[in-house]
Amino acid sequence: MTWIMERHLRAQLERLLAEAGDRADGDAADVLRARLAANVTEGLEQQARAAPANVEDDAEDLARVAAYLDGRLTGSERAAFLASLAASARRRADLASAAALLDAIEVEPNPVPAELSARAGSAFAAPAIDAKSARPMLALPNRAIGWSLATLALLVLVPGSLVVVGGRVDWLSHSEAPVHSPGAPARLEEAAPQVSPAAPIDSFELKADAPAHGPEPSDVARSAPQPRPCEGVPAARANERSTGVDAENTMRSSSPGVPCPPPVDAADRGKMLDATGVDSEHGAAAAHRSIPTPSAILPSGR
Amino acid sequence: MSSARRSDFALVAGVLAGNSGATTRFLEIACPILWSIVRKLEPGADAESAFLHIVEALKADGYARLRAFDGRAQLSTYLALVARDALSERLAKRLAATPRTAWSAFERFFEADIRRRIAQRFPRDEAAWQDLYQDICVKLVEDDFRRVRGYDGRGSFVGYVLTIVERTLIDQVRRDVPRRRLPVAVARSSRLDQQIYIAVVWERCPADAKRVAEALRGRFDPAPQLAEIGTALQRLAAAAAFKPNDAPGRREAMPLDRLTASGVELADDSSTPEEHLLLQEEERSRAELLSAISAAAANLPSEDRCYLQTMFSATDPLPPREIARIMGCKVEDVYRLRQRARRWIAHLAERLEKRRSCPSQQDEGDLDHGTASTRAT
Repeated sequence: MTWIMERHLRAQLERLLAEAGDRADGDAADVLRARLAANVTEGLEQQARAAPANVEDDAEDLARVAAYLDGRLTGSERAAFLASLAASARRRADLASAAALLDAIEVEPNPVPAELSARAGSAFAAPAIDAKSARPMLALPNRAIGWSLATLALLVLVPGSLVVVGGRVDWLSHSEAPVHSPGAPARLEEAAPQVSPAAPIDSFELKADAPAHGPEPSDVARSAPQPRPCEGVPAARANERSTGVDAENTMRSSSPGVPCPPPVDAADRGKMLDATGVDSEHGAAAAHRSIPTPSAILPSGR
Repeated sequence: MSSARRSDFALVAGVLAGNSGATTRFLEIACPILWSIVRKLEPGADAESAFLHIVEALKADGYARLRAFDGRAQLSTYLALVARDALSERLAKRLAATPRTAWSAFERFFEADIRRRIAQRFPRDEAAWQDLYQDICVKLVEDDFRRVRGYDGRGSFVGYVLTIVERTLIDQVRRDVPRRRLPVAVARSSRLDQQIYIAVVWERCPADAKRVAEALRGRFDPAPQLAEIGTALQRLAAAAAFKPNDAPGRREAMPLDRLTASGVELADDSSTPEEHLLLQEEERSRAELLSAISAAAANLPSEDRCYLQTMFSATDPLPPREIARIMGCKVEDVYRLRQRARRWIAHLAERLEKRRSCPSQQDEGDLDHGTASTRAT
């Protein structure tokens, strides 16, 4: 700190708090003011370092940041958010950058190229390829539990059925036995749960060929239509989802393991394979992409 | 929740329920926002792949990002943040894997932010902005991108990089401030003359009696008369040339073609014993200021501390609207916060004065008093 700062610290600090219009040009040296601002920043930072910053980077935190920037956080939630901001320079820097970006896009809206918009539609509707959502229901360790339950059911049902028929071991040849053609497969058909055809869950139509989450895109293109987990939702409940507060409650409380993807047009299937590659670096989309060249700042030796 | 936000929320719920109409409508709303973000952060040849990457990111993990939307923010705000987050995540991965090829994408992503920070720290030194930008880039790429690659994946990558930028700028601010000494003739003159010299030469105030009087406000009690200042200006003009921007810290560059066979007289850059003492004194004072600020901020409410951090993140005062945006509050609240900050600063200045007059005095009681009165308002 220079001796000027020592003597006029308060005046200089207050100038830093003034509004842009209040300050006449040249009334204080920029360099000194810059240094004072930097010193205060550093002093405040020393204090902040004492309190550990709670670093959160999940999607819920993004929702909180968005609500904060829209002025929608209130009360204790806002206080907690401000505390995390005050404690973390990283978080403040991130927030200021986000705010600047939001302001910039408000000023300069950009129309989306039609072709790209169509590709986005296909990509968004195509099944997700990530491992988490693609995991089949009977995958390990669920498979072990499934087999155990099946064995248990077999152990209970077989002796039970023997007791019910009263020792009639010749039931297969009995005249009362239902006759099907062919026999065994028909019985399996009866035992198997009936999968209802794709039914609309609300006023919007679901297409019968809508793929389930999980299979690879190539499998989706080849396989028969799969029943979607959300198709089992009663229409009444689904209708609730599509309206206001009920929808809000449903969404907050529900945590389905496998989400329902938006339907895909058959015509989009071909595009899907390209546009929804696991890594956007692959596929035909990458063909007309140029490799970024390092700028002049990049050391040539590296 | 307002009706617009409720309808945003219902729309997202519709998308998650597999509703094709809702999905179509959602894409109509989302695509322009996502594309705008891409055009800002990944312009150029990579824009399309970046855009599709964001769409994939929205879908990833069972639409986890969409599920997190709670309807409090506008859908457009939320989607913009998700898009930025997805792009920065991708960039961080690319930098970790192949930093040299990812560097140009890095520059595109961060250039606006870095330049904004430079302009905020050095508002009127436009000539130096490009050099500062290059200096920061050099810092980021040196040692095989050591600083950037130090990101551990926790928290925001954007925040991480911008914190490095901020620290580099603060170092630059310290380096740039010249070590000033009054010319001998001025040092021997009256205090009024010294202050006028400082105002005109160091602080770039026009050599006009009225403007100088304005600049000297608060430095003298009672304030000097205009006529007195006018006379002092004439006296100083005769004794020492008024040369604004006379910043001894920035040494004049010596072109190599001036070197001749007979040699050239080069100034010795090393500090004199006197300068060395001055530097030590400066460092001591700076440490004292930092410690006083740190102690004074200990019990500040988070909102007040955030306000001070935001205000002092720039050399020129930020517009209240911008502060309100960062503080997540109304503009009227910014004025209220500014009043409280002024009181806090007054207490801080008093504390420093007292400490100087009685170095043995402990700060705690005074600090509590300052904080309590700040809170009370």
